[in-house]
Amino acid sequence: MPSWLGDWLQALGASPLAAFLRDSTVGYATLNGLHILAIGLVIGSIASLDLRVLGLFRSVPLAALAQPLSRVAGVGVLLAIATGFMLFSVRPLAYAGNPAFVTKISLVALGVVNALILRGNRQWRFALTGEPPHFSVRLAALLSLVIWTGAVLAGRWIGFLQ
Amino acid sequence: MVTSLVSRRVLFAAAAVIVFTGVAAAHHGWSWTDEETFELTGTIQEVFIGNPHAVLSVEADDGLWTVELAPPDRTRASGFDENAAAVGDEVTAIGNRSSDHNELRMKAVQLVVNGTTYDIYPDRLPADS
Repeated sequence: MPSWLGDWLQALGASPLAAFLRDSTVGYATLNGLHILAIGLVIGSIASLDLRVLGLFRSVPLAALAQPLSRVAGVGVLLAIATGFMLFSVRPLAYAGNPAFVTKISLVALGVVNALILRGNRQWRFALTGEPPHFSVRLAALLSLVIWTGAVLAGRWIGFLQ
Repeated sequence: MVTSLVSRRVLFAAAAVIVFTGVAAAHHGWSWTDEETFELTGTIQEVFIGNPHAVLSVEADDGLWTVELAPPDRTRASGFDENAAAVGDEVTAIGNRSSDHNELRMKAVQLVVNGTTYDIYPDRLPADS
């Protein structure tokens, strides 16, 4: 780890918010609960949208599902990152050295990139008009399912490697 | 085989309750440990008292151990706070080691450091303490 990063993580761990969360049972448990809630929002909406792209629930037009589910997922990701950052600040150096944590963060980044690439893919816009989704769109949906599932499982492992 | 809708639902509900109860019972702080009491003595490398639970890093003969304590409120209630021990102090941790003996990790129910005994989990102390 570069020394500037180590220094910054050290400073984060010494912040007043981090100190509060280290000591406050109610604060930490609430934040943890909100983090899990956010994850629930992401998984529920993303899985539903991905499964629709992959061919389930074909009686429902993709265009009807895409916006609400993407928005819920987006809010979930932002809330998860915000709450996750605060949880991370409680012991930054230890978490940064935890392979499960690093894996989870990498998978979250991959999931976001995958979603952004899909948004920019014009095959996605064709799919929204009711065309059968192009291979690249279905691939993105499959990757999305695998990546977000992996992120959740990696996240669960953090406590067992700590 | 004819099963009515009602009895199938009852069977499913019963199975779900049994599975859930089993999982819930397993999910407490010792499901990963040996049952016998284990004692570790070593030198403290790190003390962390904070959420989700306090933990010590202890250098013993066979390597660097992770000694898990309790959530911060309960850990402090035993008297073990930031002033109780420092890096370099010798500590004896009494508790239960990981059932995977390749893993240098244990859950402590009691700590002895600097001449003071801290009962982290008073209702889980070994019989002779």
